[in-house]
Amino acid sequence: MIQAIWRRRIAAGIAAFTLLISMTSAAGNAEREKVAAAPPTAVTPAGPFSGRVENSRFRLELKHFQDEDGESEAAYLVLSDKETGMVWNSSPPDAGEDPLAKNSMKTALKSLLQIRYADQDSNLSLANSAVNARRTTFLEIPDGVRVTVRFESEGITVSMDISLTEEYLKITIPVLEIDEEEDSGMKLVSVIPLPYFGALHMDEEGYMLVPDGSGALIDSSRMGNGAKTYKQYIYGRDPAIEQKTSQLVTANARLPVYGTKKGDAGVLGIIHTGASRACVNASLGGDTQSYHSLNAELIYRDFATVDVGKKTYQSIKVNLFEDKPVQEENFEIRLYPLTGEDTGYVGMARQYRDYLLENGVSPSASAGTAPLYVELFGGVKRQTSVLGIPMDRVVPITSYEDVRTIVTALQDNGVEELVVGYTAWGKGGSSSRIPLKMQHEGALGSKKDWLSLQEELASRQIALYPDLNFTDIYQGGGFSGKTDGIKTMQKNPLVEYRYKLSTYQPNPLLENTFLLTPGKVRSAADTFAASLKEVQAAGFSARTLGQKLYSDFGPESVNRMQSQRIWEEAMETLCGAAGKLLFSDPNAYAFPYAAHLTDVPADSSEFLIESRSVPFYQIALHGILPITLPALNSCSDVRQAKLKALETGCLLKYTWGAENFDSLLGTEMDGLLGLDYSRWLTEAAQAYREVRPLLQSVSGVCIRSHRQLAHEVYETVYENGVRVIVNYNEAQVDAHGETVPGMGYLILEE
Amino acid sequence: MGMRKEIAGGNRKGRRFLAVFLAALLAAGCALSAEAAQTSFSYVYNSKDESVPTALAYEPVATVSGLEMGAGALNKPQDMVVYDDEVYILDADNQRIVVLDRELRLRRIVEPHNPDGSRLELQTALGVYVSGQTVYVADRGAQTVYLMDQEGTVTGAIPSPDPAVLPPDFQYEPSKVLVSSSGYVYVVSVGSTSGALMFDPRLDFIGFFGSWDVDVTESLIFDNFWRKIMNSQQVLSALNRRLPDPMVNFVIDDEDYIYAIRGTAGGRQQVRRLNSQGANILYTPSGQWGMFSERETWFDEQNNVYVDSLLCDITVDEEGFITVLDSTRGRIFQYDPQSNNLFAFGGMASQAGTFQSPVAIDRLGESLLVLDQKAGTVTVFRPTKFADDVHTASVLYQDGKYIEAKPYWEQVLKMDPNYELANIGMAKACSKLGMHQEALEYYRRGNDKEGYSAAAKLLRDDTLRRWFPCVLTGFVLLLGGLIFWLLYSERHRKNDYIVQISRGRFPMYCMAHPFKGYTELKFEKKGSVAIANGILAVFFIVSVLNRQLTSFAFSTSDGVPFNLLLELGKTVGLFAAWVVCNWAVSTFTDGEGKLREIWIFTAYALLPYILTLGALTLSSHIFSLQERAFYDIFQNIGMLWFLVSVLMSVKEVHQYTMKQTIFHLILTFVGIAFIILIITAVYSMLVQLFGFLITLGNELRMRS
Repeated sequence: MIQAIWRRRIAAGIAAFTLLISMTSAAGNAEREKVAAAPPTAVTPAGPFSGRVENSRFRLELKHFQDEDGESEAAYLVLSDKETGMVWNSSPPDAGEDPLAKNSMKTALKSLLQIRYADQDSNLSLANSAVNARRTTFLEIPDGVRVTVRFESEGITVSMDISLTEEYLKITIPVLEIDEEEDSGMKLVSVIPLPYFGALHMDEEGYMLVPDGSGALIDSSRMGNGAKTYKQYIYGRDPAIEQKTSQLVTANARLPVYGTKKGDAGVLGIIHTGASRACVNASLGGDTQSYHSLNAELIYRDFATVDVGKKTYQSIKVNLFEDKPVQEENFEIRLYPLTGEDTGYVGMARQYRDYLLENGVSPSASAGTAPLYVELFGGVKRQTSVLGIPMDRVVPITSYEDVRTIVTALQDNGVEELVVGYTAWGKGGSSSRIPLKMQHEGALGSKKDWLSLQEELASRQIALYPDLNFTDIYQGGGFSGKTDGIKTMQKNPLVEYRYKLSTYQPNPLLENTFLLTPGKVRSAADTFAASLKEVQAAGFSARTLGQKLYSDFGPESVNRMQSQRIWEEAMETLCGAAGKLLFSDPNAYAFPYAAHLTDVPADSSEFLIESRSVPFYQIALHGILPITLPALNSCSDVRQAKLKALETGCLLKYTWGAENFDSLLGTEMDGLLGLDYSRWLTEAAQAYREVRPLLQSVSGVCIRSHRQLAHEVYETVYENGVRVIVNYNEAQVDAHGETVPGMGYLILEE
Repeated sequence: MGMRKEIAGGNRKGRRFLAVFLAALLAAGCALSAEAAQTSFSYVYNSKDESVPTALAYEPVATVSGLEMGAGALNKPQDMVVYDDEVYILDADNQRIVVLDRELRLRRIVEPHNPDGSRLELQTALGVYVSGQTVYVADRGAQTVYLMDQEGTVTGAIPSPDPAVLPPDFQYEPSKVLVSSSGYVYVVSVGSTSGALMFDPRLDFIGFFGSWDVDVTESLIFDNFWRKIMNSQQVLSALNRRLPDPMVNFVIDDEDYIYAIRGTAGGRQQVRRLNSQGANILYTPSGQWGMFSERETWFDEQNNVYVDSLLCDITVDEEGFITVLDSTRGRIFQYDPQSNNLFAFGGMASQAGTFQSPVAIDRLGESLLVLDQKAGTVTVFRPTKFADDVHTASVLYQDGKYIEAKPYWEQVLKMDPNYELANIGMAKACSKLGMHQEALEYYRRGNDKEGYSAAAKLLRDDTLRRWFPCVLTGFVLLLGGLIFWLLYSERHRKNDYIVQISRGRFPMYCMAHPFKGYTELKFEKKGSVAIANGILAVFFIVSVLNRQLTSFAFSTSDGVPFNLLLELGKTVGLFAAWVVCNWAVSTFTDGEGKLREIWIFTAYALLPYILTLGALTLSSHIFSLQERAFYDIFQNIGMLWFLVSVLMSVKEVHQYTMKQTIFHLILTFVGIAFIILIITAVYSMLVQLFGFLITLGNELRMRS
């Protein structure tokens, strides 16, 4: 017989236990609900499509290709822009008569939709909707049409909603409407809506804009130097799915845009939702068909090619797929036919600028300001010898005292406005800890030094942006790579290697890092924001949040779309606590939270298929956010950097340190070159003084036009009439009646 | 961090040409931006043969295709040569030579034909060269070198020489050709292990030139050994025939020296500068042959192969700077006349500045041109200001004008503070200016131990000279005090006759009297395990301190990260292994030593070694490398002392005769070797086992 007192104790225990369980599961559920921000809304079609829909700006019609028997088979859409009079076809109307194309290629050209799918042996193939023309239905939806294609032999059904707004054509892929039949065993990998929209004929004049670096053009007439295709993942490739060995350095696709200039018309595509799971494809015609193509591929179920037998000297490659495809949000692409006199990359940039202003970016470039940006590198963690005993310590490159010295030196040299970014300033130096609160690094100075530095810079009105690393897990930070890091699709902890330039192999001497799971990133950001009682610094820099985006296949798995939402929430929290952030070469989702954008790419990867780089990024963002060039230290000619600054309105930036540069050798920071500020100071101040007047006059002012006048001679016109001509040639050039000195510029006010 | 590059015209003439060149490029319709991608990179190999990123050296400014040249698409071009400001491209599969001007625009086309007007079919034309008005084309398939004029009319030929004067089994397969200023023609024949064929101005064969020596490696020695003792024909044929490497390509400089490259990967001397006797006169300042290619091995996991670094072409400028092209990795390496690596850049990809199959490189003014066979393009590389500064400084440095070179080295250090050659250059300049302390720091950053030690010596001599009077006085006083103390204590010591040595003083006693110390230790049983362990701990600490604190000039482990386990293993681990082996061996050589005693005795024997280490660490800061003899004397005395101690400790602890001791020692060494062997074998087995388990796990996970 259990005594009464024991009965009470047991009851209490059970109650407590149940309470605990329900609380944790509730917390878990609450967490999951927070992540699913925008559940995919379903649009119910009203009935069969009438064949045409229009509003005051556009008219959309459905037409059919006629085959030899006069019977209509595949369909295509015709978008007429009432404002400009231009007509856009989703497929070339004469695709059936293409002399170069075989029948299979003609089918591709006539397709409204392409899918990439995997069969039972995990081999990938491409399927065209035109083959399934008889199984394609068109249903009416508000302002548009729902195209549903049943790919019969693959057993996959995909719907695509195309609707009109006053400014753009909206393409939505409702993910919940995708159906994969069980018995076919095929899996849908990705969807390419309207693959040949606005396709350029190879003899037609025009170009394709791809989001490589600052932006690059693939000219219709140039033969691509042997290269035929282009493919880049927006925001970089997801490291949790595919770990690309670092085989050569390319610029990143930071902006989810692509565009075509076709004769006098131009169109810009912006991937509004799902950019993190998209890539941009371009291919040149001339071999198997007469048309160039440019489209976005939306990834429904991602995959990676894995070598299973690596350690046994036998290469067995297998394709692995994600368990869960995208369920949380629908994909959306917006195609903006361009109006205005410029339908080229400048017009595209202006359209993108308008889009950004309507989607969360508030202009923060104030007029009349043109600061010099200086990024100071704090300390590098490496093995050093203390009285003979080897230890891992942070070696100061720029201590807190050094920051003061450098800033004073700059001000003494005439630099009036300054924005200082401080990287590797916190505990752990370059192996920085995930910040849960502001923690100074002892090797750089005491806590008092740190606080007084912040106070002093604030009093001198110099904006200080210490960098926060929320994603990289280094050793000894309270977070462990194995338990707190993300897992790859193969369920291993993701290890980020550092690669050697010479052999592209992981450098075994350098510490490998892990990536923190998105959920923990979020909570770290929350904890950090809550710990800030009084922010002395002007704000913070969040380089890694802006540059890295990844999914997680661990126990709390999230895909990249969800990660992006989490990042946005984290940035929102940080902004709320400390004001807007400084980003270095970030992905576009960071723009609404940015006060400054540094290291904006000056050009592209220069793939051979690209004809030239264009400053699309700069034209779009100048005037709404302060943007800077990449650090001039790596530039061997300050003259050229100055010209670039004048051409694009970008501010100048340097990355500096004060001492101990040889400590960088043998660490992952050995790529930081030219850091010695004392050797650069005078030159930097001089360059700053030279470009400042122009940059001040165009600060906060958008770029109206940009064009090439002659070889390596460009003209930029700002909205306030300021006109700048830059000449990158060594010799002087006469362009349109003006003489521009060699490696020089001319500023004209209208 | 983005990287930027610029167009740098070296001199005015260059700049003007550059301007015209660029303007013409626009006209030709090929317009790649003059600002290179921020994605170009350069690195350099330091003196430890590690690759280190450096500032951008050469940037690609244009990639010109056949169409853009105005010549129509090039079809598998094989070779390219620049002569008299014109670029000749051997467009082999199109049966022609395309001649371009400085702006890479078509000037004329040379179509080979016979004097009677009929077309000359080139079979496998691999090489082209121009001298004067004659164009030379090496045709491997036709086994001839054709000479033709600028219109393409064949004016002569160099067929195979009479087989009687050639080595047996020699196949005449001309692939590359060059002509010296005196008219001698040199021909590279594919696979020829005797070097290049030499022809006089009348095109008569006069002999071979410049064959390589066979590299003596361990595998070669083993092969020779086996060959000597084996007779079976099968075995002999299975072993590699060790023949000299064939020459792959070459170039001739203004002074008529030929630079030849060979086609095998790895090792040294891939490039040789040959004098008239065919001997290599290209070596580093320390007298070694240079390493001219990728020095780090690259194992391609995707395809499970080692990717070699094979050179395919070379070009040399007036100052003697050597640039080579690596065909497998698409890299371009540049070296100064002393074989120091200056830069490395390029790669295999489809970006500007990378290639699909590079086959030829040559200079056009300040620029480098690279011919890409598969893409049918020529990429133009322009040196950046950084490269120009390195070149200028290097030329001044080689002429001994260290101080004039200083401002240029400073510019180089501004871009890359860790550039070794610049640090050494600055060090030499500082030394010359009497700034020895700064020179010391620069030598350290430049990894130049000899320079460091020389500067340290100068500094030390300087200091000594300055403080000489004080030092001398102090020394005299010290000596006086010592003599006085000895005399004084001598008077008092006459009373003590038998000295009792305490337990604690025994280690020192053994060290000072190795011959009788251990005997007394054995019989008086005054050994202490605690003291022995203390000595062991001190041994470990002094070992580590020696490793870390030895002066830079003498240090062998700077830059190598400290591995605690390894250091423990080398000291305590080795000690333990020795003691255990010693004890184990003593069981069957009838030794009398117990394990405890062996432990104590060996630890006591360590003392001289510890002292030596300490003295060496200290003296490394005093001596310079030139006075290495003194350093070595210290080391030798100490080692001798230590060995004697070990010998005596073993002899006494086991009560052996000298012969037995020696025997025992040999067996102990064998025992240690055995232990190491077993550990290695077990370790590698475990690695295999884990590898297997991991693969198994992977596969199970994939299939589930």
